[in-house]
Amino acid sequence: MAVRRSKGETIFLAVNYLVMALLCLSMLFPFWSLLAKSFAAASVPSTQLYFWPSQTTLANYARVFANKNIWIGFGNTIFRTVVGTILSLVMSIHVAYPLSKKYLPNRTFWTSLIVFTMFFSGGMIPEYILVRSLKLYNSRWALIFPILLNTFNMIIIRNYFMSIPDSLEESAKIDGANDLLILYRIIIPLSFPIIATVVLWTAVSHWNAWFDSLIYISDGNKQVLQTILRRIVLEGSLQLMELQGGAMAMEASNVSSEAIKAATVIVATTPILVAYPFLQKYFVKGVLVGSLKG
Amino acid sequence: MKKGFVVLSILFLGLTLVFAAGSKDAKTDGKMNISWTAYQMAPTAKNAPMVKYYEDMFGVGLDVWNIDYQQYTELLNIRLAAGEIPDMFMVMNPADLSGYVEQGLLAPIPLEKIKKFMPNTYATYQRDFPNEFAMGQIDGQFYGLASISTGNMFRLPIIYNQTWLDALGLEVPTNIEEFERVIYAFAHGDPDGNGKKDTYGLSMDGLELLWGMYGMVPYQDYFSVKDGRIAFMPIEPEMKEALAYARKWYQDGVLDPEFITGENAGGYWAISHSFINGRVGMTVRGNYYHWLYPGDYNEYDDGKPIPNQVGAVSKELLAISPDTKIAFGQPLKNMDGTQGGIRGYHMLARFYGIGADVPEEKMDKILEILEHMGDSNPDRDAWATARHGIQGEDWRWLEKDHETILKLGQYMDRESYRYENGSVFWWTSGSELKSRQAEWGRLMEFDKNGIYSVFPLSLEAMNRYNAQLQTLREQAYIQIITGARPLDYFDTFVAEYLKIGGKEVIDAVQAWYAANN
Repeated sequence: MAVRRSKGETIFLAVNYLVMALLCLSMLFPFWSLLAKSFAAASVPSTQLYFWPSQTTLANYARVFANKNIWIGFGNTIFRTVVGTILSLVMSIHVAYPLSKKYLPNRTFWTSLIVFTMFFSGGMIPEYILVRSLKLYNSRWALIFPILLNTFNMIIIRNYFMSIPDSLEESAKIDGANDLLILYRIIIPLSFPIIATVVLWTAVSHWNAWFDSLIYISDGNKQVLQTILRRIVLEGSLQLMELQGGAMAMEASNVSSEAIKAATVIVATTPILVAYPFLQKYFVKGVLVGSLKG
Repeated sequence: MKKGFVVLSILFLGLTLVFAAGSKDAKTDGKMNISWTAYQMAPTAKNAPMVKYYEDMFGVGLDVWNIDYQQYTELLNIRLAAGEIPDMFMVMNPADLSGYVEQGLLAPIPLEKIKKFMPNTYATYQRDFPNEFAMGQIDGQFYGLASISTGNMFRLPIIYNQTWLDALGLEVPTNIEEFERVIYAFAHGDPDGNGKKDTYGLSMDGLELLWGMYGMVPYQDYFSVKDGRIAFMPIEPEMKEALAYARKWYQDGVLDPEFITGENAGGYWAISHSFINGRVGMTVRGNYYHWLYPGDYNEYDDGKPIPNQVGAVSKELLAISPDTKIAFGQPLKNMDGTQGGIRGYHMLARFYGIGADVPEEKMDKILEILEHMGDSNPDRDAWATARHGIQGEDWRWLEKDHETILKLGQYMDRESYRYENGSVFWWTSGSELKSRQAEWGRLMEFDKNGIYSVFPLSLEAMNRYNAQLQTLREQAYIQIITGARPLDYFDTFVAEYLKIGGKEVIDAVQAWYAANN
């Protein structure tokens, strides 16, 4: 049934939609611009803004995919994202569940012990020494273990668990279930929104992380995509032109460094962007429900 | 759902095993092992061909630390704090040398050893770079071997829009009077012929020419010698004269009113967007080779001419407006006819030191390797091999007497290939540039009238006061140029500047100068 609106309301709505559309477009445009640039031929000026380049080429992507480092980076990043996220989730849930129970002895003490690490960290040097002493230097696990338990995520999960009525646990207890069974069969299935949220956060932060790879990894075959991406982007700005003559690359190729950079960024960001929409519906709900309270 | 989960778990477990089964690196037993830090744009593989090549050549094991060059100092400091010191210790920022020495992280290198193991490098230092070489000395002992970017003998380029000059019937200016005529015409004479008043004479970078005329580099720590004493020109009376010009240009609409935000709008640093988009008619930005036009000079392959590579900024400029021509100028002469200069980049790039507690035998070996990898190696094949990899595979000579090579294979597409391949041991110890490009640079006199600081390092006083001094300086200049404050505010500014630390800095540099000259 159509709602009757006054003229003023219609104008108000129209302006609202217009402003929102402009806002959305202004957020989409940088990404679109990058996408357009990634298809630009070398003859297209790289400093101008355009909706679609006047001359297009696939040579940029060909060059990106010909770089074996991209594939090495993908392998390592997928490994750290998948394994890191799963292990993080397992850890967070198993810490959060006991802490969500009011009858846990000394609960405040344990909670504050963990929360303490949220405000004070050892700093980069002690962390490096720790990683090295654990013989994790130059190992892919150095990218996973130091950030295995994210306190903030754990607390969000704990708060969600606390919002689940105690009576569910009690009735399961009466039916003879033990604590682990209650966690796996009742609590986790009920907590899907918050788990999806935390999975998304953890996965994205793993996907985007690069500095730990610089610190802990010296082997080129173990570096993550973002480190390699960063290198390609920086190398593009250095390129041949910084060289003081003396070293020539012959062919006048149809690629420009700016376009290669754009293509590399697109290749590296697309996979994680694709994952977003599928988790979106849980995401909003999870953040709302899991928010800190009480 | 459950089954899927199990399958996935197995898959992940498989992945885990594949990736966790890392290679354990076999230590070379018996051989001397040297840990090495280098300027490298990509990590080197343990078994990289060039690492093997040099391990065999020198009979040592080489352990390259693979520290990312963009984050070098920060990452190196983490490892130093954790108690690890590399044997070959590269100091990325020359200003850090004294700090590392104070912390006892570097070993003194006896001068006799430099003479004995690095005769060619030492001879070049003595002949061409005695000042830079001396800067590696602290309390009479050498801790760092100076790495010299000979390319910085070329100062900032001065670029005019030749198409505009032609349209206005003007020549490239040589003195301040002619220069004013040109920039006023650029701003008011409609040089692009579109009938709109949308052009300016110059912007932020173009002002370098004005400062340079008085021998100044106001936004950086360039110290000069004036009447036998150290002077910081940007607070001397000359700066007031220069500001009077800039202030007038701003009022007359000749200086771009948006000059404060600079000429580069992001992207590649050397690009002046104001210039390539036809907003201003002259600029001072980048290096001369960024402005190379097609056909400026030729490279030769076996006598056959090959056109030069087009500069990064020219390429962009020509893509936007293919008909624009440019002309290069020299620094301006002052009203009294004295020749001005313009900022040059520091020649001293880095230091190469040796980690504390390195045994004597190992130090000798490192010096021997550095001698081989430096610019003074008389064997030019070995010199190019150190830089580019295996001859015939990764590169071949174009003109050996011009030290120009052609990249081959993967190296052609990716600069980082050579670092992955293990070409990381070379360093720029400094030598005369022989390339056709440098030849052209000298022909165009980009090596003339550069301004260099007598003191390219950093002192404790500078580290302490620099942030606030820099801010005060920039604010005062902008306020005076835009007319927010009167020109005479300059005197108040100088008094304030000296009071909040400027005097301490000049005194410290003066003390260094007195001790070293």
